[in-house]
Amino acid sequence: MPRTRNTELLQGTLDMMILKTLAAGPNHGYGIARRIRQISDEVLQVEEGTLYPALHRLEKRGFLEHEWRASEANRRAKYYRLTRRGRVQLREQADRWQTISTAIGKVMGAHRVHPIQSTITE
Amino acid sequence: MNRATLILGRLSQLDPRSDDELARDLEDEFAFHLDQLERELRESGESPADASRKARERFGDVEAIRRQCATIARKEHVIMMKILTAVLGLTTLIVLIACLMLYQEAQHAHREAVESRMVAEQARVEAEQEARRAQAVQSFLVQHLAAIDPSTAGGRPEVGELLDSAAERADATFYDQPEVRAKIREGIEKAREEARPKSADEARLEQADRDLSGVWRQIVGSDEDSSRVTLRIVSIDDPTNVNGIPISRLQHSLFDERVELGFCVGRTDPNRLIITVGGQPVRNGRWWLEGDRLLIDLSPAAPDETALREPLIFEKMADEGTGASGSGTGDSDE
Repeated sequence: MPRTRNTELLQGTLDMMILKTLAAGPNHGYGIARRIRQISDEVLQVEEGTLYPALHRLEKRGFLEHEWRASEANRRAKYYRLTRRGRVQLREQADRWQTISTAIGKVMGAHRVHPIQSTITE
Repeated sequence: MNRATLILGRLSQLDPRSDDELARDLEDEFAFHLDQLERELRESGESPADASRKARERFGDVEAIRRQCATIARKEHVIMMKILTAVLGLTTLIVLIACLMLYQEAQHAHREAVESRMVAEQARVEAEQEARRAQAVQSFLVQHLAAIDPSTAGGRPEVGELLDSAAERADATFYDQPEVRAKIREGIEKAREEARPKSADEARLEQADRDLSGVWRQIVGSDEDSSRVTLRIVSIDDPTNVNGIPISRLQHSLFDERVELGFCVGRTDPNRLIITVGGQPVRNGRWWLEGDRLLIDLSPAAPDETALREPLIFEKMADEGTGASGSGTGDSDE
């Protein structure tokens, strides 16, 4: 399975994606990483070295909380879930992301619609 | 939100786990992740050995990730613990200082109480001793006087003989109580002095003393502390310095203690003394009056002060003093 080099993208959006993933329900680190990968059609692959520090940081800031459950293999699995503060944070980050992605989309769309004009202007 | 609430909020978020518990939690969390990865790889056709190796490769440096997570978990904890330690240290210091101050205060109060008790105890002991002495003296006198029998004393005894007899008996009775003996002796000697016939010169001297006191009363008024007369020094050029001896010394030392005039100096300023009548009789002829002038001879009282051989002369101020007529004529009683 090829790993996508998208560290720069994740730097700004990993927290938001973790919060969004957990909005569907409690999950462990492995589950969160796999879900992001599946939803993004294998485009976004969250590295564990980034995922776990982000999870612990979000928990420290009060956006997440955890509980330990027993796995099928009788291992302890740490399940994270959103707190109320986490939901508020997710809403704010999603709004900001929406604004930015719309703006970026407009910028990128303008080049496609008026390629000649763009060239002349430059 | 004020600062205290913020700190309390931070404190409530502190990770309560010990370092060992934190390490175990991270271990379990990462182990579960590796298990899941390994299973996923096995399900995709990898051999167990390859699945395990690849899972570890994909996960990355477990130790580095563990350190990173532990740092995040402990970061605020360490800061808050430092703040807490500082606050606790400061509070402890303040409490210690307060305790020390209270202890010193208590010690001081205790010392004062002990000293007061000792003083009171000493006063009580002295009072008891004095009472015992007085009782002993009184008992002695009563018993001694009651024991005098004119028939055995050879008729009517002389006062001197009685006193001699009393003194001898006191010495014998109180041979081991020198203080009582001294008291009785003192009383006996006073009585002897009173009973002693006066010579003509002594009688005249006492009369002169009484006369001078009468003159003094005439000048300065009634014999009360509130009666004052203002006198000006007229025998010296520089009243602030009496021949090398400052007025203040005259005021506090010579006038109060040596001149024995029976008045004390109330206050002084550069050129006059204000003298308060103390009500004591004048003795030894160390002052005399010439018209309105008061002359004080200090030489007998201060033999080592050669500069004071000449008498000091004071003049009553015209505008001050109470009840002084200034018409008396004093005589030296030397």
